Amino acid sequence: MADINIESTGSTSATGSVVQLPINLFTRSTNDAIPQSTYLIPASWRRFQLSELINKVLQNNSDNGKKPIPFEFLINGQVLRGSLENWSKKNRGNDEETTIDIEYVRSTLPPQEVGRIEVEDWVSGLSLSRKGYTLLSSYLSHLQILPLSSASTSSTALYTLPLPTSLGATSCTWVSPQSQEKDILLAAGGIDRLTHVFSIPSLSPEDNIQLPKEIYTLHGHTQPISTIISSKSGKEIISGSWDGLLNLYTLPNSEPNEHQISSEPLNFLTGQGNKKKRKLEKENPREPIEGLMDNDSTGEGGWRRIPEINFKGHLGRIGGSVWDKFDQEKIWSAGWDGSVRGWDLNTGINSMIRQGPFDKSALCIDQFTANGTLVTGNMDRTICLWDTRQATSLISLTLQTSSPIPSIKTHPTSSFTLASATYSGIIQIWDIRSPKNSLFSVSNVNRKERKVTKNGKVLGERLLALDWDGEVLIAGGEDGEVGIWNATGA
Amino acid sequence: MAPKNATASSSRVATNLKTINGKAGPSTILKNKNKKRAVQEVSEDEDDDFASVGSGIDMSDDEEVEEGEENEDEEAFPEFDSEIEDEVDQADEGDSESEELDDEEESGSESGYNSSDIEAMYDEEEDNENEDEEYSPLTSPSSSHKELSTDEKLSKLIAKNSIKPDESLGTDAKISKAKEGVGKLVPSKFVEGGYKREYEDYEAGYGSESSTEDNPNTVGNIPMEWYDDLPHIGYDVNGRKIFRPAQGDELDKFLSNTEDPAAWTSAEDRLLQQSVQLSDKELDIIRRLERAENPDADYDPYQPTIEWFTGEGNERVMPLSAAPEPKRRFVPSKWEHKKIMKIVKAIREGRIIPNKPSATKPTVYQIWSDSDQANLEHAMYMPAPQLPPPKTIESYNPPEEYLLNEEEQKEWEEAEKEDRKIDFLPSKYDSLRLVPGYKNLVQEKFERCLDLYLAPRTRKVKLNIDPESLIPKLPSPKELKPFPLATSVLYRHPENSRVRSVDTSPDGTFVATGSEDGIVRVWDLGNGREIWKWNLQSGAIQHIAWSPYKDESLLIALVAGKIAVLSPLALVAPSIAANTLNHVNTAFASSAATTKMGSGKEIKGTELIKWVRPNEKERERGVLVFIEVPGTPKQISWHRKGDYFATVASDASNKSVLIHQLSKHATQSPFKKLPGQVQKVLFHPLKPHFFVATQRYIRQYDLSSQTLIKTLQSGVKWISSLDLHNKGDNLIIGSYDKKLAWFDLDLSNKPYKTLRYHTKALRSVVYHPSLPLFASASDDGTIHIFHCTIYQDLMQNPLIVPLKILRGHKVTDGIGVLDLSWVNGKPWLVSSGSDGEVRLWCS
Repeated sequence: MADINIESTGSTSATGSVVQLPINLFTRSTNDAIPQSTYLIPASWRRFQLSELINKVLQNNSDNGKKPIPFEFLINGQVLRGSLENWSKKNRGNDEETTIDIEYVRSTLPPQEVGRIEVEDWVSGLSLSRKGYTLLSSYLSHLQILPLSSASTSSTALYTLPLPTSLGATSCTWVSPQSQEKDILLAAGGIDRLTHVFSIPSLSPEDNIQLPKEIYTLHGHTQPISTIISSKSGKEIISGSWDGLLNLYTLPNSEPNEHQISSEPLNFLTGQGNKKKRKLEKENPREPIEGLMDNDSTGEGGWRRIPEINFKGHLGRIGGSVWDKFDQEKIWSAGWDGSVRGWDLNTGINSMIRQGPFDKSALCIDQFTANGTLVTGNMDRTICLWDTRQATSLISLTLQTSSPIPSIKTHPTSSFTLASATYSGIIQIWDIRSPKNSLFSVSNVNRKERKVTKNGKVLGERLLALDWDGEVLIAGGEDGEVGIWNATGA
Repeated sequence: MAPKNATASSSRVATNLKTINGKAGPSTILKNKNKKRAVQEVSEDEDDDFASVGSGIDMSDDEEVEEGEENEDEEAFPEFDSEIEDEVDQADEGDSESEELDDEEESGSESGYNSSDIEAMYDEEEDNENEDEEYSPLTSPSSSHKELSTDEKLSKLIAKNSIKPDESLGTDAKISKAKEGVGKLVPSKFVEGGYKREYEDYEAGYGSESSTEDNPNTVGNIPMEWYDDLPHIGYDVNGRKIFRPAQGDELDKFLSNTEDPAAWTSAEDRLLQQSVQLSDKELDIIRRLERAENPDADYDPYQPTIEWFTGEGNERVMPLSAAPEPKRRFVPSKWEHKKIMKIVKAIREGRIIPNKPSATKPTVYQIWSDSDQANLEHAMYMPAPQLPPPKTIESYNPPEEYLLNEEEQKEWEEAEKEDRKIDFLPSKYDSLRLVPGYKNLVQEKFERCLDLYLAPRTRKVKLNIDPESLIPKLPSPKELKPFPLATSVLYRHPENSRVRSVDTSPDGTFVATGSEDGIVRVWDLGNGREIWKWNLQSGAIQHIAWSPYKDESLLIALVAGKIAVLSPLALVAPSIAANTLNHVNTAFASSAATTKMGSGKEIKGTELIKWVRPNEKERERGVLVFIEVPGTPKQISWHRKGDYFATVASDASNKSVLIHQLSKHATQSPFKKLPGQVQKVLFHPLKPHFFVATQRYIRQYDLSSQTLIKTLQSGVKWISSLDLHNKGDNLIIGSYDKKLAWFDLDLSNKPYKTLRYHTKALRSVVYHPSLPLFASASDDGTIHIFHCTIYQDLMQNPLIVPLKILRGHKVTDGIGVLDLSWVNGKPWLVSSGSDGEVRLWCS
């Protein structure tokens, strides 16, 4: 039937003056594959007609009880927008003889903005690991847990967990696995060089008998924390810092009753009055260092713990780290020295080094679930794909962007789609099969016209954090807001 | 000698001098004598000797006496002396030549006279007599004298003794002179036994043959026919009529002519109306005039030349100028050498064959035998440019349309020759034989020849150089990656306060900015978050700089009159914080006082410099020390070890450059006197050297030996910034007159390269601490990034390649980018602008 249709269109075109282009249609997914052959397609056809064609070949119609699948068409890494004729004119100079190879992929819908959450200060970290809830950390030095519903534009936080200092939190993560409903652990890293692990009794509001508290304070870094990840089991936390170290902390099964190290001096006054001060400190050890402007963060510190293993190797700041999606004993980290390193948790050995150019400072890293390819967002305005399975390969693919990528997230199932946030305030969804330009890009133009936060920090358009669970995408940053989009990937 | 002496000595006495003046006669005689004596110097000297010998036996004694007398003279008539001499001058007017001689003679004569001995005097007189005898032929006849009688001698003796010796000398001489034959003494008729002097008639010895002298007729120069009717012909000196002499008739005349042999040598004197016999001299004159000779018989036209300036012994010793002999006088001429070498070359090439036998021409040959052969082209042969071929209009029978109609013809005729479009009138002839001769032919040929002659033709050797090849071959910027390309992070300041200074911490994690709202902010380099700040509350932050020492975290900020030592203690590891505190606070610990004076005793005014401990709250926030300094410090430069730092406050006169030591809390002023208004200072990264940039010069000092090593002449008008390469051999400066100058310190004290590409003043130039990059920021709002490879090989010049112009900062109030700072270890640049933006530029 499809053939007839094509022939009929071909005959009409032969009679008229319609130009026909020879094309090859192929795909990498096995489900949607069609037999290899060269089709003569009218040049005026667009994405929709091509998609119809494939659906007809696949016999995805209501007769078979299958829904037609929308497809996206890529020619030489570019998504087909407009007619084939236009593309041919633009890129081939009206060469109507040569066969055009067109790859088709299942189409994703453009992200739909569903709401925005206003935060008092810059958003530094976001997590969607727990379905239905958003965890965010902000430079106002606190963690917030917000319920994520479609109409949660102005939802109030379930929990607001302040850090002991008001220097600001830089990252956050859920620690406890999603299955754990009670005494959920979550962690935040701060500019105060510490990782704070909090415990909240439950996420359901009726169980709020116990107050949330900071249960552990993880020491060991000499510079601010840049990234925190936790294992699936929720027993290990790895933090990366500006000092180039990755620290592995193992959380005890039950709450300990002694600190592993003595506390850091919180006061730097020296001289004669020092002893007095120390005495005072002992009496009142939680006197916070006066931070910037506000005094609202006076959370209690938890049990001080020291790292199990130091992973030393990066020469600069750690940009990001990610737990290997296949091997729980392995993590990946990317640093400002331009290298991507793999670490073996059991031995503490740097098992893999991929050293890129020294100026390709990575700000974030993630891994594709499907094939284990690593993807980093870099300061030099690129997104790089690192194929770590092949011994010789370094950077397998580079996606050019307009500004640095502080946060990147791969699609939980697809091996081609990823979302990135940029410093220019744009969220892009990429298909790595179309490396020249992104599939979709949305910006946070809808943000409210706030210029300055309460504590005097200037707001801007820059995005700092992003998370995507394949359906919902959230991003926030310098604008002091978290935008929520409905975005599905293939 | 004697008469001379007489005049000389007489000049000493005024009274006698008067008499001389009154009697012009003797003085003139004396003068004449002087003149003559001047010619005969030699003999005179002899005379002097003679006189001195004669005057006394013992010369020395005489001299002593003479001296004494002279002294007396001077004492007695100090005023007279000058006057007299003046008068003598007047008397001798016009005789300046003889003046000197007079003086000499004076002394000589005095020596002769100074003996008070009368006998000597007499001797002298005898001498004088002798002299007179000697000189007799020269003296005038009137000066002849007679022997003095004994009576005369006696009276003279009396006169002599009755006068004071001093005065008498001259008088005596005068008297003796007067006596000496000018007049003669005769017994007086009125005074018994007295004598009276009778003078002979004076004859003015003019020595001229002027006829007026002996012409008795005094009628003057009037026509003599006025007296034709009168019996007399004029008057003599006494006023008596001179009667007309008897006039002979024609016969008498004839007779006298025939009889008197001297008649033909006589001439008629018209005044006396008689014929006068011409003397031999006059006849001689006439004869000479006839022969067109010089009438003066004594004139010798062939007298020998006197060589005053030339000849042996008269060479000019003194050169005309002090210039040394030029070198070209000693070296062989270059031009000649060239000329010779040209000939040598021609000989070598065979163009000239020396001693070539001249080709013998056959005596008989055909003149035109080779005329049909083409001329051999000479090397310099150049054919004349060809004339354009004739056109139709020049034809003798042109088509009708070429012919001029009457109007055109008239116009052609009226136009100036130079203005005509064609220089002939086209005309039509029916046949060639009717064509007349072309009358402008000669003129045209002449002009053509003139053109060819006057316009020199040369062969031009064209240089075929591809202009592209002249451009230095620079690698393309793509090969020199990475370098900053685009803004990645903005560090937003509230209310866009102007950010004067920016610096990145040595580990590349923090950016510190100092803005005009008086707040020092520390930012996260990576994402532009402000994580710490100090409000110093003392006006605009002028400059900030992180300590280069990585084990400490120190930041110094400059505000008006104060240097603040800061440390973001809460952001760094406790060990680093402890290091920092130890370093900065030990000096406080050693002295209990919270305020410590700077220790620059030798320089006045350094006691104003205080190291002040901030209050507890400030210290808690990481403000460690305040240093109170005079003026407003504008720039800070850290020593690489992080203990010393130097500050510049241009308005603090001689204390504008200060070097501070953190560990001792000591401040010293290294310069007692500054060479100018200091703009910037800099520590050498490796050596103990110190650079001081004034408005135009950069001086390099050795701090250990406290000496000036070199002065770099920038060639710019006003240096705004400077930076030293991390190897320490290359220096760049930026200037307010839009220039950037690169110095190679080993090469020269002048810039290796001066680049001018900014359109406004440069504010900052910075080398990258490790990568081969440098950047310059300007008021035009742009930042230029350059690549600079400095080779290990000293012979190779640094390679400077312009890479990128970074635009983005807005120009506000005419100020663009204010400060730059490279991020250590990364090709990233942080820039601050007057628009209140601080940007991180990433590769």
